[in-house]
Amino acid sequence: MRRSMVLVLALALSACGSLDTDGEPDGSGPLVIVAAASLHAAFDDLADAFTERFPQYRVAPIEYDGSQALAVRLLDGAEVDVVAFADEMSLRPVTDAGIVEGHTIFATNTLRIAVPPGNPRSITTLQDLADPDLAVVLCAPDVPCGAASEALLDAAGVHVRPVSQETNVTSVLNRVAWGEADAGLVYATDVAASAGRVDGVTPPNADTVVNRYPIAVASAAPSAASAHAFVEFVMSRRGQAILAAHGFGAP
Amino acid sequence: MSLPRSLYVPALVGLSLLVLPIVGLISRVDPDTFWSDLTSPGALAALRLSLVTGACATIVCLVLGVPLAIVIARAPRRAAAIVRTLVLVPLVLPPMVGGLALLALAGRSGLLGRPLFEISGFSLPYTTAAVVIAQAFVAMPFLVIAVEGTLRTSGTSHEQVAAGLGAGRWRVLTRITLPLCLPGVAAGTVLCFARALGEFGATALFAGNAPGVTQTMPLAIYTAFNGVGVTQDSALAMAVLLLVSAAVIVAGLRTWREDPVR
Amino acid sequence: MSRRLRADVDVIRDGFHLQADVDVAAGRCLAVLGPNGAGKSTLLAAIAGIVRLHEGVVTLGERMLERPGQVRLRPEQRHITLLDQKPRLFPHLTAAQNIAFGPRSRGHDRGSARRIAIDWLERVELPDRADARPHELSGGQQQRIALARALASEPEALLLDEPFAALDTESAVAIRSLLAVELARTATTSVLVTHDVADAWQWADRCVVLEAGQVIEETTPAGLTARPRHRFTAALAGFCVVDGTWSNGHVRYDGGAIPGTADAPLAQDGPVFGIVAPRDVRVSARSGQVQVSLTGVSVRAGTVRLETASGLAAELGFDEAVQSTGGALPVIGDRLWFSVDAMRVLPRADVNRCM
Repeated sequence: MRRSMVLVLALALSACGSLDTDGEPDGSGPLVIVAAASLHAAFDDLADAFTERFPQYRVAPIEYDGSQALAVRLLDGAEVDVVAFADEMSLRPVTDAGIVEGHTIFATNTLRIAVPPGNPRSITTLQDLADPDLAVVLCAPDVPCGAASEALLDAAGVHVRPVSQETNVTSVLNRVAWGEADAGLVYATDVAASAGRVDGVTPPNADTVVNRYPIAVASAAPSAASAHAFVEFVMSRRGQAILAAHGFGAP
Repeated sequence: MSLPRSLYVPALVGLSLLVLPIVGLISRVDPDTFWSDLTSPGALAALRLSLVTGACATIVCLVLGVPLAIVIARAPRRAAAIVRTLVLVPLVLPPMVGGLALLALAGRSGLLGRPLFEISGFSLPYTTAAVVIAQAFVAMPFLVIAVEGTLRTSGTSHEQVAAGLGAGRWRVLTRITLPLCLPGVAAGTVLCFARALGEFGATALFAGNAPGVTQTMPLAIYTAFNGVGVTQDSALAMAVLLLVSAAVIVAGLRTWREDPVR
Repeated sequence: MSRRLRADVDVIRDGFHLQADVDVAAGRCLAVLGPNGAGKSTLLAAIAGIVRLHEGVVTLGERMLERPGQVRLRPEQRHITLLDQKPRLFPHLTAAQNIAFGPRSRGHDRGSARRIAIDWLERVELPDRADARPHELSGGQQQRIALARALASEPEALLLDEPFAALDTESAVAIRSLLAVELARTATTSVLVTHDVADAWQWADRCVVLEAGQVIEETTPAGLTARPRHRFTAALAGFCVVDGTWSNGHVRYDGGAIPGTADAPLAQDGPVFGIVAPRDVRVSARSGQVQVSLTGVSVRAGTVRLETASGLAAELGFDEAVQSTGGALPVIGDRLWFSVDAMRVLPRADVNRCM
């Protein structure tokens, strides 16, 4: 009786473990990609187009989060094939740890001021964001979007006191879209993807602060072949067209 | 009572599930830098904020929760059952849902928040008060249930006797009902404070994340592990601090429970 | 100050319907008896104001305490104190603080209330337990404190619900004498619910018997024991009761027939019960009216009581008992003959009622 109980337990645990269908060592498993939050819509489209073009490959559901958060997970030992971040600085600790070797810039993004539809507070410049009566939400400085925001504001000599510092840019967008914040600094692509939930105001000199998005294949990628194929696809004309359609700039 | 030996297997697995993660947490701490990690400016700010908001939330819970518990305990059974169910909802609600609910009510676009904002220009989110409210929202059920339980157990006979001796309703409340429910109040307060200290989901959504204003210890720990804010070592140190305070609270609770007034 | 208590109550509580009309003269005691579930505690609860009247009126002295539709004083406004089996001392207060609670509620300041409490502690013979907490006191001591607490609040009426029932004999004796002294001294109008006829004899000058929410007898203690009119009171007074039917001047039952006399005319073959004092039952081994088989034999203080299945019982002195069976003490299973001159016979209202 006791032996059969142990057997049942062991079977149950191994079944739970094998629910995760990641990376079989021979590389025929689905592709594991982690990408910055701002790449959400674009990369979903890229993955669909990729598997359509190359039916022999499968892509696992892509994980999106702030680039710095993804970096932490990678340093903790998460197994991935492809890494796509929103700036090079976030990738540096990952490169330093040898998880990736080298990267390619595949897109660029600039910032926009996100405001509720109709721009009720009539915000037009970065200076407007310094108004203490405004509830402005920014990405935390460690987030690529936040680092860019800080650079942009510093360049304009504007000091903003955000009411909240979010850990990824989607949260900033959501707060503005819900009406809980008067304004936030997000990417141009976020405004485009919001389908009208927010309006975007282009601050002057927005083009001076550019986030360069790196993509890299993990050194120990379980599906190295498909990983390289994906990166090539992203850099191809088709891939770049998809990125441009979502509002990204050329690399 | 002697137990069948096979019972110990799942029992030990269960115990390991509860204890081993904590052992893992403690093993990650770097003892040399622990104190400096704990006292880094970001960590201290979060600690101070957590203690202040936790204490305020507990006071709010006491002032509002004890009368509520008394009313429920003395209400007719059906009404009491309905109200008790309502009070228990925040207890089982996922905290993030609680945060969304608070936003829906008191956010700038919320049911009550919008008129408030339009009239006075004041809105609750992003303020320290919002942290207190979020913490009180999740912690009050603990206090209410603890006090109500004590009152139901002690029954109404003492109050009836007091009335028979000539005590008016106010005197009965202050001299009989409240002193008799003190053990429940004590236990409930401790649970309430512990829950308020550990509250994260509702706070993150409703109050936001601003160091020194709304970034409590749990928020600081979470954002640190998302690569933002205080270092991960500071986050770890704060996590251990929360762990130690939880242990102290549980130990203290047991002492209270074993020392009833009766 | 003694006040007259009048309660004409019609109360419905948890489906139970009580209708009773009691009148207690100022400074006197009324005993309320009855089987369990008769409504005795409900009656007290109605007088105390714990249960709302459906109809009726309760007055104490000149004050109307309750009349549905007109006035309803809350319990704390009635100046009526209820004392029952459980002391119900406040666990978080000392003995002295418990006793002082009544005076404090009625306006005495702390010092004066404490003096009153100390005074009462002397009277109940617990002067050194002033600062003890209830859980440090024995059951008997707690009940004494409870009594002191009840009387210290100077009620205009005192309701007692079997206050001695939960006590050991020694404490019960002590508290009985205490209560007797204090009731007499303060001349407080009181209502005493009891199962013990001796209590009724000791304190009450009038008794009321409740059964199933109705008053079935209203008499003096003497009347209760001498000429009971209901099975319950007959049993209470120590009579034995035999159920049967009335037939030609006899109570006929499965054991035989016993001659009986009725106060009022009874229907032939109607259900009746006969009452006889065990002392009036004669026992013989040879002949008699009915033959019985003994189901119980008990000896106490030189008296032997012989029980039978029908309810008929005989009580005789030890020597008499031995003689009746021809030399040996009767034992269970012995067949003997019982004889009765005449049972007092009364109509049995509910044939299937259990006692």
